[in-house]
Amino acid sequence: MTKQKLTFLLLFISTVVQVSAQKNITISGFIRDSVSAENLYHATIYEANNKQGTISNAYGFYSLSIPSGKVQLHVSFVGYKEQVLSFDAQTDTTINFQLSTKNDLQEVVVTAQSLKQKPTFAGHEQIDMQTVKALPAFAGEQDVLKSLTILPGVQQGYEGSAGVFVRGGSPDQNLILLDGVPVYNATHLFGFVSVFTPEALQSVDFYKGGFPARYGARLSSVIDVRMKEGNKNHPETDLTIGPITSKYTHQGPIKKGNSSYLVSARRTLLDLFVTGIAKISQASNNEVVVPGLNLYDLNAKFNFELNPKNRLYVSFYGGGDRLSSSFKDNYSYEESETKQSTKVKLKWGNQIGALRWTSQLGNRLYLNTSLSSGSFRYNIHNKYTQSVKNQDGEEEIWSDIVYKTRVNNNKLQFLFDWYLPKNKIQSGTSAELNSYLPGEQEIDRHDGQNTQRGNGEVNNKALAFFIDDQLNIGNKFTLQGGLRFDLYDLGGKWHSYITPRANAKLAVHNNLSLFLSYDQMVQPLHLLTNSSVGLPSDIWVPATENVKPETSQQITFGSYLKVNDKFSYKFDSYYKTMDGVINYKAGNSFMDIYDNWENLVETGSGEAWGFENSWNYKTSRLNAWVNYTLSWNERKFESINSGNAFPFKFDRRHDINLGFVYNLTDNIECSAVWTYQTGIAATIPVQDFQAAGPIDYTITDFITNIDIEDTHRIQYFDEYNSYRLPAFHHLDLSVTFKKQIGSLFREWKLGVYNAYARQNAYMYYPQTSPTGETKYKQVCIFPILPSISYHIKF
Amino acid sequence: MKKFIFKYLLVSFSVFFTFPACVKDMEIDVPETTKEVVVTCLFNPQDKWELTLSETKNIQESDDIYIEDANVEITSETGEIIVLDYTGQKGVYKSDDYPEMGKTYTLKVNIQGHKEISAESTVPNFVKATVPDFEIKWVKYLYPNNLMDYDVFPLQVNFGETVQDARFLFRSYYFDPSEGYKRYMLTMESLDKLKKAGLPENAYTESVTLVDQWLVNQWAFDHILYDFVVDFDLKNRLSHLLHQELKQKTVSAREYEAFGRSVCFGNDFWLNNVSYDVITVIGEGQNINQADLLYSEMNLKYNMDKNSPMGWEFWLEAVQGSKDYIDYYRSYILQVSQRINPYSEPVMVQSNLNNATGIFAGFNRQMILLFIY
Repeated sequence: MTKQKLTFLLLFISTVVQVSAQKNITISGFIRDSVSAENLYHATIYEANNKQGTISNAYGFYSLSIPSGKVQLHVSFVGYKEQVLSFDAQTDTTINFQLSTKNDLQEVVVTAQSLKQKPTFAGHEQIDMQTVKALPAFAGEQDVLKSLTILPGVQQGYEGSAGVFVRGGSPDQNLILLDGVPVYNATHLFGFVSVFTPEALQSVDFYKGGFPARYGARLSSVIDVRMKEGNKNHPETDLTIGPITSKYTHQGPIKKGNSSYLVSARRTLLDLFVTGIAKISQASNNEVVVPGLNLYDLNAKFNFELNPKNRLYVSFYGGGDRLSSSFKDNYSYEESETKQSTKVKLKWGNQIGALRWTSQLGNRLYLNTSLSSGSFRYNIHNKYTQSVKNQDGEEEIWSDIVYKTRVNNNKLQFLFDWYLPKNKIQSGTSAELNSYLPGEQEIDRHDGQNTQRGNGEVNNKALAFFIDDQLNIGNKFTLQGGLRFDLYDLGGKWHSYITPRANAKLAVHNNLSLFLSYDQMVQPLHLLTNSSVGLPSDIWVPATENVKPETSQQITFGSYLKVNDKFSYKFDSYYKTMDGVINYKAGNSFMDIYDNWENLVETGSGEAWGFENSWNYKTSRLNAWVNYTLSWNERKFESINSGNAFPFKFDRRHDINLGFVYNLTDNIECSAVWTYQTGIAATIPVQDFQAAGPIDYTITDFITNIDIEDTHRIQYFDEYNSYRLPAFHHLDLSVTFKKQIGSLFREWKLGVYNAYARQNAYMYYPQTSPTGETKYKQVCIFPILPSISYHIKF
Repeated sequence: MKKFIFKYLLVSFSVFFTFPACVKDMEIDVPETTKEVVVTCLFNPQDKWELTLSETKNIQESDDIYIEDANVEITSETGEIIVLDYTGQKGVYKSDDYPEMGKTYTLKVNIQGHKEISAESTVPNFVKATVPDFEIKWVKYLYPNNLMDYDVFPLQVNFGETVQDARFLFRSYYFDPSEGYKRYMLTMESLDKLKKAGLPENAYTESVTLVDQWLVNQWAFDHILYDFVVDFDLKNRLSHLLHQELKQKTVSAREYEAFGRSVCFGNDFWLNNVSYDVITVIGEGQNINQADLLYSEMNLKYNMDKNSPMGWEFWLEAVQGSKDYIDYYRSYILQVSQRINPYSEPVMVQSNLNNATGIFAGFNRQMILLFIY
């Protein structure tokens, strides 16, 4: 512990010493979009004479310290025309750049970028929304999370699911941020659609390794999603109609050139049809189930320029799913008349609010102060009523059951960006107040037998201090060292964790770079899940004295080779260990959450390693890629598999992704993506035997309503996850027709998910023949799924 | 614009719902699996020693494979050796001895070419369970694990002493004296007659396993017709013939198999039903002197409401199990309950055998007559 603290101190002192040794002039300012005046995050500014460069921060701010004299500045950003500015710089200078978009094909960021343009480290990818929009969409829904699964090292869970598995991690190990606030359940429709409306988003930063120290609290990845700030110059409207959802986005200036707003709304229209038809049927029948399902997202963001150096941002997101079912049954028997009704309503969703104040302190220091709150709630409300009328009178019985689970995060953070001649330091501190309601049930009844049970609310606190120093040593070597110090209150007792991060990049040649990184991460919360399919029954719980935080270590080595202007190759390898990962004990599920949840789980460890390869070919009209990952992913729990390591469910040995985006003409764009993954690991009992005791009655499964067969036989398996389901693969195609009609831009997008109708297994179950032979049946849910969506912008 | 939106939505939704989910046989590579020896022996002082030896069966096979040439020995803690001999029937080994209360037994099974199989378990010391006089007060009970309402009445079981390490399992039963003493048998000759009368081949194959055995319930034969015969007239004809052909006799004892199971819930801090099972209440606790249960029987409730006595007997089974017995049942019920839930982790059923699977566990059973209605 003392050694680590000393390292922290030395790192800090060394940066301060370097500061005082340098005499330079500083060029600083903002890089913005020329049309909307939005700040551009991760734009590159490169001074050619001194071969020094930097990138703009999340608010478009940059600061570059160079020796005074002639300078030639190259300013570039993905999808924008490069600007070059030459002048004689003798004093500190402020220059704001406004970049114009290119007319040709947007660069697709599933590949590595040019070394000059993008001095990023291994494990970091920046996704721009043009890329997301160019890819084939699942059921017409452009999806940020699904677009990540194209990247090597990132795998999809179940078919259609937006859950991502990064380098052997599980979905709960991904830190998903929207404007810096954690999103606990990032999917709708049981995981098929992510909560992010692409039209409202500006950029996505994705880290699967080489994590900056400002990020903590998760083990495997960071998906940092930023909403657009809104067009500061003129109003702009987007309208999209799709088979699952329809979307409306409007943005514009509050004060032209300075302040702006953005509002966006998305909602499914499916329920209007399905529920409406069922309600009509119910009116004419005695026994009808009326289903209801809808989802919605609301985004709003306002930004105000207080003065040229201070800006205030207010952002809000609210979104959720509603699933309801109402059943009524009226019948008469002899002289009694019975009316029954059952209404079940499930509601789940996230709410996020953030207040952010950014401040330029001098021309080298930038302060970002934020106060945010994010929560995820899941409620089930079940109301049952029965009234019986007979000659004795009328009697009514009812029960009202409410189940709730909730997680809430409130955070205050100070983040400094400090641009020094040879270093860029990012440091800060944060304080968090978290509350968790792992699962509480209230039952009210007509007879007053009311019950309340479950795991009550738990509050905890967290403090973090972090610093990252990016140091350029010569023109070829860049080192980024980071240290994060976390303090977690685990049930009244504080625990400290120091997690070092290191990232090195060596430009061996103009076209060849080597990368090395090491990360330690801590996760102070767990997700109780049976499924990995993004069910709302997933429950977030805090780490405690008994169930400690999860920890991980990861080491990566990689290289990037730019063969020529069109062709590049990127290689990454990683080895990751995880401790404290949790699993429901055999047979336990969210249904048992009324017991102390700590008794339902056991902790274990995990190990993952793999090799990621990415080939990319890019011309002005075509962008094609081949991504291949070879990986292993294991878990170890004392009570499972006799304590031996076993393959994690999503241990997919081979993961291949081939794809292209091609501009046939200026108005027609087509794309195709083919995905192949080794089948998931499964425990399939291929043997059984006669049970010793009596359970020879039929059990109907409460969830699936299917009779469980052969209850008198015990299924036998000796190895856990020792079988593989059939390989998962599908081809997705898309054609987009674009047209500019005056000030109106319109777009038709036709797509096919799973074009050759591969029947991928979503779930499987055993079925026994009368002669006693058992076969496993697989259910596939999307044999082929065409879609069409219409988008206009004006 | 309205027309356009309407057309668009119509086309989209038509396309979306035209492609429903599909079900097919799953193609998985099932490598040659090593078969395990299965030992099945739940023993108690009321029954003579009986043990079954078989092998695990591949799910694609139809018949169990029994082991007929094993040496089976059980040694008591006092050194007494009990040899179980093969009965010649379906892997069953028996002895004329009875297990004794409070004793620990060690099992050793030797099969040629197989490592020695062993296990150890104890018959718990007997604890008398009684149900004090009570009045039936029906209440609605919402079972939290499946959110369904049941008509139940509370029931208390007293142990008469404080049990230091209590391990109990409770089930509720009814016994219908008008049917419970009857036994039914179908001969091979009768089955052939049914086949000639049109019994389908698959129903015939299923029925062969029931032939020449006295069974407690006609339903075992009837359900084959219900499951396999689709044609209504043929079903009626075969049913009529079946009931003509069934041989019948009456016995004097209430056999365990003749009891019908009903629903029972735990209503005490140390008792619970496993997953969404509603039949078996399992409890383990320290220093326990009573068990609170909720007893449910649909027919009883209905007939009491109608004030129409049936003459049925209502019973409570109280099983005092060894730790192995309780762990086995808990995991077995869990496995069955979670078997079809695609999102559940698979459950391995508890085994205490070395070099084999199955169970070797002692228990005490008490059947308590509650009342007759």
